[in-house]
Amino acid sequence: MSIRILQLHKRASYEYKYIQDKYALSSDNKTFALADGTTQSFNSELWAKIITTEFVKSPNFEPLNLISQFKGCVQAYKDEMISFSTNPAKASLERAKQSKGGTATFIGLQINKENSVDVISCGDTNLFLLNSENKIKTFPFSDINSLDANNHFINTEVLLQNHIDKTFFKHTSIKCNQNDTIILATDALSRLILKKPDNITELLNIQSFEHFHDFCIKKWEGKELEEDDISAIIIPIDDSESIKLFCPPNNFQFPKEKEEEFIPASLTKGKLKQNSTMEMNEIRSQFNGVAKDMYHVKSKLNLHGILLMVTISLLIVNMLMMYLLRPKTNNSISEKPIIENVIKSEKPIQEKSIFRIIKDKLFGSSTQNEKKVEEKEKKQ
Amino acid sequence: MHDIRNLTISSTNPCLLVYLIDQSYSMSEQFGNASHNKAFEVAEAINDIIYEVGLRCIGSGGELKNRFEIAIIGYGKEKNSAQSGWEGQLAEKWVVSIKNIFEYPLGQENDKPIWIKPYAEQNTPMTKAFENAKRLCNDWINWGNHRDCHPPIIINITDGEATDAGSSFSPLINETQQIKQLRTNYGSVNILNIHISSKAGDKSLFPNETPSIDRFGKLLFDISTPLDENMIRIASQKGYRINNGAKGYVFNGNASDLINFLNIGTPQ
Repeated sequence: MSIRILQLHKRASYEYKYIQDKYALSSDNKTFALADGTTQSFNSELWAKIITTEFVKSPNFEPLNLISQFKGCVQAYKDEMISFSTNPAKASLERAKQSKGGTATFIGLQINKENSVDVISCGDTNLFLLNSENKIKTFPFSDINSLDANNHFINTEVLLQNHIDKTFFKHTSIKCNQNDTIILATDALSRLILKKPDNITELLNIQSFEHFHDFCIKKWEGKELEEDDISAIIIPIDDSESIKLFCPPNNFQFPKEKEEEFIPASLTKGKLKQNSTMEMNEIRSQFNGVAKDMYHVKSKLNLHGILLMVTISLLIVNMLMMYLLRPKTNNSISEKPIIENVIKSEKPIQEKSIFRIIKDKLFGSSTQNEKKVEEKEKKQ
Repeated sequence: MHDIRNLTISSTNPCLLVYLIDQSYSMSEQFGNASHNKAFEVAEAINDIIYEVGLRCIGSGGELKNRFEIAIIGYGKEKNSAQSGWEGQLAEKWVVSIKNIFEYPLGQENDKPIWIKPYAEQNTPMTKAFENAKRLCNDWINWGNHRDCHPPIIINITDGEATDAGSSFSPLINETQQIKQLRTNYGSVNILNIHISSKAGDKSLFPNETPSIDRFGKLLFDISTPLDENMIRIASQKGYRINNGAKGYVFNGNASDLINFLNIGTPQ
């Protein structure tokens, strides 16, 4: 099996060159180091690179000696040329931040003969040892709460002030067997493994950058893994010397988020109303126009209502009249004789319209009138 | 709801800070034993906090990451009015990203940028300020991916004497209760109150019990939300003695401590 180094920068950093986790290793003397430069300190990735390289060059497992060794590296960190921003407000921030120095966590190990491993650590970068029976040993933290409670970091200014003592470091020696595997992981990944140890199997099966990328994205999207730089060094306890690096290729970068300005709609609308008298007048006149139209519609609706009522009333009267003044028929006569009567009558029976019936009732029937006229003529 | 311990405030998942600043006439009174007045203390505190936030957002290459968006609502500068408290080129804005805040400061004092000047003018329409904060938070939560972000944090800095809340303060209490209903996938909106007083007294930072100051102090304590689990964890990690259930209430202190309680990536 090969030694594998897995790295992916956080999405907010966009490009791999901004990753603040740094590693160094020497396959010759089987020494490995991993440091996590902290987000909020100044040029922390440079400080992380300096201390990992220094450790691998000259491994030291005695805390006081290592403190002194790292203290000697501070000048290299300070010698880095910094050009401040031309914006005075930002330059003020940069100066303030620079004065606080660079900060990183650190874990270093060396595999000795007879498979004993020396480890020294400061901060929340963790070691996991997986044996052939799939049992996991951890160092220095075995649960999330103790990892989260860590408050030790290696800061350049604090080093110079001699405020870092041996209590900042944890040191141990672990006995390993052939076919065991060691994993060094920075804090976000360590937290994930401590929370769900099954994740370690998935991690060990990763054989390409694409696979590692998919693993991180899946865990980020599932909110299981903190959005942070993710780094792991997988070290098999065998004689393998080959190293595989699974890190983003040169053309890889996460998309930059759109810089859209958030404008609170509810408050902005309110402000416009208050500020613009012209707009207020326009809105008022439009409102008056709408009110006028509404009035017209309303009055037309009233007229329509009245007309509708009159029509309905007329219909009802009509129907009543039809009912009251319907022609009287003899129910005892069957249909057939009526037909005969129709045929036999000398004059065709005129169907009386409703108006005719009303007229007859009011003024008498036309035949009666004709008779009256004849009688008058006879008398004369 | 997601585990807030897995959330880092970043430019992809920013956090909204809403400052409500009392600019009423009573702020012209002396602050405790200090030689300056309360308005001066508030302006200085806001400028310091913005600077502290900037320190947590600037990268090694000098680029400011938009990890925070900040709103300042001033109340009492004009009668019965709560308006955006930004000045100068930011005057028309309600919410400004940290990147733009450092592009447009009002000026520099003692080699540090400033954005806010002290004002002590009219009455204290605190209810109106909370009403604006509620509308602003609601709009912010429903915008873009903000439901997957840290819930907004409202920080009210006042001497406590609201003039638009009646004698029972019920309109003010009602507004704050409505604010507490607003939430992202990581929890509900936080309300913190910084009570500055003319009375000289011991600084009280995030207490668990009602302070025995005055009825305004009690009101501010009551409307404050408890600090969330993550804030308490980070605070304890940094050596603060804060217990579970501690309320977001500060007496005669400032809120720069609060910035230390937020997970903005590894500190130091």
